[in-house]
Amino acid sequence: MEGEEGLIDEQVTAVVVGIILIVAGVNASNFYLANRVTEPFSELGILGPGQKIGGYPTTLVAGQGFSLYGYVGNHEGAVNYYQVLVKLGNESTQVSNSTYARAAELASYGLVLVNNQSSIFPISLSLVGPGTNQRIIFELWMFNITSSQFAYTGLWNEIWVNVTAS
Amino acid sequence: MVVAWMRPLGVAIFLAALLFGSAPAVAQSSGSAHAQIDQAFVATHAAEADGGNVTSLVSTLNQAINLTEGADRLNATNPQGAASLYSQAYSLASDVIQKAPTVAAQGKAAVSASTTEFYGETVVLGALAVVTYFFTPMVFWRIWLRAHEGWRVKKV
Repeated sequence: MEGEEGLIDEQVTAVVVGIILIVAGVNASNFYLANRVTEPFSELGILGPGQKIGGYPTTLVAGQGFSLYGYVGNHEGAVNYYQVLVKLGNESTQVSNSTYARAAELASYGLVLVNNQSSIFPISLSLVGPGTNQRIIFELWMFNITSSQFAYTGLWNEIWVNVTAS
Repeated sequence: MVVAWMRPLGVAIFLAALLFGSAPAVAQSSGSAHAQIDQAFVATHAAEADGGNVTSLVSTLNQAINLTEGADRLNATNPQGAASLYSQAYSLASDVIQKAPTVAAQGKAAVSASTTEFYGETVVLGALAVVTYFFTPMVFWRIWLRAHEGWRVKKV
């Protein structure tokens, strides 16, 4: 009988101490892992006039305005100052994840986002000259605190359009 | 005769001074507004690194950015209007720079309180584990006996 009691004592103690240790572990992980971002990233998206993916213009009239929407998301783990540069390029314009386009800048949109915040903003553009296979290139740049300059994030998008004379 | 001849010259000099004098003023205003926004962002970033809640600062900063973008578009056609917008943007960015240290101090205090709370909880949990280890059997059997005090043992 005494042996059985001792066994129950140990079991109950183990269970209660185990629960306390689990609570302490969860508490410690919450404290040390809070606000830690394992894979920081930013997002750039271009939405059509209806604020949806699609419905992008393919043919434009020179001098006539048109609207798109930009989407930027911040998951870098800290507040960030972004700039979306809109450039006008053509078939031969080089742009990649490592090289930004050397092309005429049409417009720029700046915004500051806290971590895990995203924003959709209107983009109003107008192309002056007619031409075929023109590329409207959107690049995401991020302010670098150390250099006090904007740096290319490597994120870009594009829309191909033909522009007819008005 | 001399006065009549000088009058159009005076007007021309005044217009030239207005034209060439106002353009650099707007350019300086534009540059200083952009630079102030950059400084305001650096201050906001530092405040957040100290644990501050920078949501309000970011909102003001975005207003300043929108104003400078509006001024950049307006600069070619209406320099005076652009200068006014740059000035407002500069003022908002300065406001952010001024408020950032307070937000940073609040953040530091919150982080300190959170750390104290964590160590306090850890000590309490540790003490609870020790108390459990030494007193659980006694407390358990006391509760068990109270729950079964009406029971009778039947010999089989």
